[in-house]
Amino acid sequence: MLRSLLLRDLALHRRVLITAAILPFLLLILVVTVQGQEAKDMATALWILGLLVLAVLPHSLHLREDRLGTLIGLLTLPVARREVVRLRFLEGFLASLAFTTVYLTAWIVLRHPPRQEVLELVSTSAPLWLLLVFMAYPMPFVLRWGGKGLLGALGLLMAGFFLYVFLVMFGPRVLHVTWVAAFDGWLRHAAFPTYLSLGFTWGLPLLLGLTFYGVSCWTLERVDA
Amino acid sequence: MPETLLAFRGVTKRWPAFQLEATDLDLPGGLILGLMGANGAGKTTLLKLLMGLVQPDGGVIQFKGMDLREGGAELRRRIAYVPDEPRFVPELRLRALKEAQARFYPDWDEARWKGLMADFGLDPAQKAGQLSLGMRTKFALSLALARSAELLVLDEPTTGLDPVFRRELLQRLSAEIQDERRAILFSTHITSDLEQRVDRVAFLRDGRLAFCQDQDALRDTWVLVKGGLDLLEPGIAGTFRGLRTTPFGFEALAEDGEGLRRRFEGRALLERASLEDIVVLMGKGTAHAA
Amino acid sequence: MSPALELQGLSKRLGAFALHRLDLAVPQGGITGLVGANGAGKSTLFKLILGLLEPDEGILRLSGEDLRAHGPRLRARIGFVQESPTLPGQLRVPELGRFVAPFYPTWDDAEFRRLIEGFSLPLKTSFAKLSQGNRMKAALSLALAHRPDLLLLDEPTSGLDPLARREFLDLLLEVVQEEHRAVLFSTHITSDLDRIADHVAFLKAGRLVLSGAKDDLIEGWQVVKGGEELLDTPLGRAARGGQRTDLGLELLCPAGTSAPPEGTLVARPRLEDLVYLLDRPLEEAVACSR
Repeated sequence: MLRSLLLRDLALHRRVLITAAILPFLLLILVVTVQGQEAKDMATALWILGLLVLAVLPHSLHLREDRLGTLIGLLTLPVARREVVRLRFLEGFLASLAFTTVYLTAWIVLRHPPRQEVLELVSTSAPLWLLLVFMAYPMPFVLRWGGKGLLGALGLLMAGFFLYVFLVMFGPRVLHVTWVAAFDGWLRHAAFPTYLSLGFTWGLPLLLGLTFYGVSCWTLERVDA
Repeated sequence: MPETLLAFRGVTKRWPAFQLEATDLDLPGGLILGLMGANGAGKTTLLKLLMGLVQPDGGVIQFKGMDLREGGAELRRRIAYVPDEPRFVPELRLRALKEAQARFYPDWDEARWKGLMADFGLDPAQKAGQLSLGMRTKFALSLALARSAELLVLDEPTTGLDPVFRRELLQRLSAEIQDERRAILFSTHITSDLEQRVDRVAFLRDGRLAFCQDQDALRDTWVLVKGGLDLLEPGIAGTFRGLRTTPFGFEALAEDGEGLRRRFEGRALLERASLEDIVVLMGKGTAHAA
Repeated sequence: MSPALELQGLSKRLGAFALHRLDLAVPQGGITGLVGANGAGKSTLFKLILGLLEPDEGILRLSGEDLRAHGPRLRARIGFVQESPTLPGQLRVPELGRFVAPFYPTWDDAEFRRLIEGFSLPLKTSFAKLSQGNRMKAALSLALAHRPDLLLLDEPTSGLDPLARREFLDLLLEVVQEEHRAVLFSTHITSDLDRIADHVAFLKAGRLVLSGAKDDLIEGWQVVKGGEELLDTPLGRAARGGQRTDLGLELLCPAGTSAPPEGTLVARPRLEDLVYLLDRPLEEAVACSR
């Protein structure tokens, strides 16, 4: 069924998907034009940017169905709603994976970066975190409230981020909370052993991602279309 | 007696502004059930509950004895649905849209779909964005009829379509259910469509099922009473199920034809009520008479 | 007295579709119903009258004056109501009046207020939040408040439920009678025309195949039901269309051609029968049975 759903999306959202597929090539052109010291930083920044755009691809597909009124068609197919959620998560995951593969391969072929840099890039858990924050976390909001849900979820995220930064910077002086700064220091300097650190960078996003997947299923199964 | 295909048992849905109250409904195989009611009376909600688009707050919907909520996805394979004002991705050709949908149904009959498209005057190479509302409904009907679903659920499939097409569609639908193993449930505003080939009529009023009767029983039950205003004695409003007054007289709907005939002794005109009379007068209620 | 609207040999070609030399007179003080299949040319005809399309040839007159020569001035005397009115949804009904008024030199504010009061429209609800019936009533008040000579209604009742539809039709009858206006009314619901139309025009594939006073049309035809042997009688040979049903043949014949043979049922056609049966090829039906 998941296969039929994927094929349905490939047909119905061909335009959106083609646009999304052009993205890595546009970014590559940018990367090739930058030379010298900044090249590596630039490459990383553009890679992150690309991933960010693709992390919200599942949301754009869902919102497009909502806007075009084809959501009723999707939800009356002989498919459980859980499958629809699975489809969206899979789409985000596959898009990020495909983009990373194409982008890194091209980068290595075109620029011959040092081995060390390549290893750093390949082994980072950043894509997973991006998917967690920008795809998995807003998903229940999008399924329940549509476009407003996406804005609300991202707004909430920003508010939380600013609150954290505020607490770290001014907490000790203004509010007399010191533990936040200590926590932040611990977080930044990874003052935990390797196995904990691995769990933090890879295990935590996976665990949270699965939680949001569950919440998304629970939400969509209760939505009235 | 054909087995019951679809049963609603105490189905309830509550929204802040609207409620569908404990609804019971039975649809045996071989029958066409027409669903009537004012805009906002709950017709679309009832059909959406059936398709699992809307989640009920209480009650059970059974398809051949199985709970639709539990077997939803699998059972929907055996049900075809045409929504009110169907919509499609505008830049796609009808052929591509069909392709995307047909894959989900093992019983999809390609030859039959092509025949339906030709009968409906639709070209598979057309883009969905070029279709008018009536044509989109026809396309949705072609998708629904191209497989042998046991239950057809159609939400106002005749709105915006001309009388010739409507009559042909009803003939087609009634041919579909000849083997008594399939059934059709459809909602409409056009009462004259229901008078032709529809076996049973259900009428929803303010989220309640006012009646669900066979066409023949309906004809025998309801009478239309017409007379002068002087006949409207105090207390008589209670015997009417709907009343409309004009400066010249009144028009009322009643069940007890014999009693009224004796009561008025020829001073009022009693005739068989048409479906339209029933729906219009019952929709009005007796509030005006009080 | 010249008719409110007069078409003579009006033609328009649009790609594969064409309106062929239409001749039609919409008399004053009456309702003319326009029926026809989807795509028969009703919308094109309305666009020509409203000046949204230029005819290829032919004459269009409004109360005797050439509509093509004096378009802008004369068109202010036409009131137009669409199935889904395109009006700013956030405005309330009285504000809609102020929004539309500047476009019409003959706008009568007192008349507008009288109409919306008479239609008992809610004054404090925004247009988008009105019920469909009330939206059509609001659109009708806007179209009537500049005191048009001709009222064009494009499927105004297709989204309405029977109760709202009857209410709308009754209001329409009232405003036509009190002001002696002309109305051209397109619809797919022929039973509405049975109820209120004085004249009927029937468009089929861009041609006007039938037009005239409704009563004359209905009295000029008969529906004859009987067995196969009907085809060999003079009545059967005079038939202008027919179909095969489960019960036998159903033929549309001009009234008074010849006496029906024994065992046949003869009935006055409803408009729907006329629209459905006229020019429905019999050969096809015969071929089906063999």
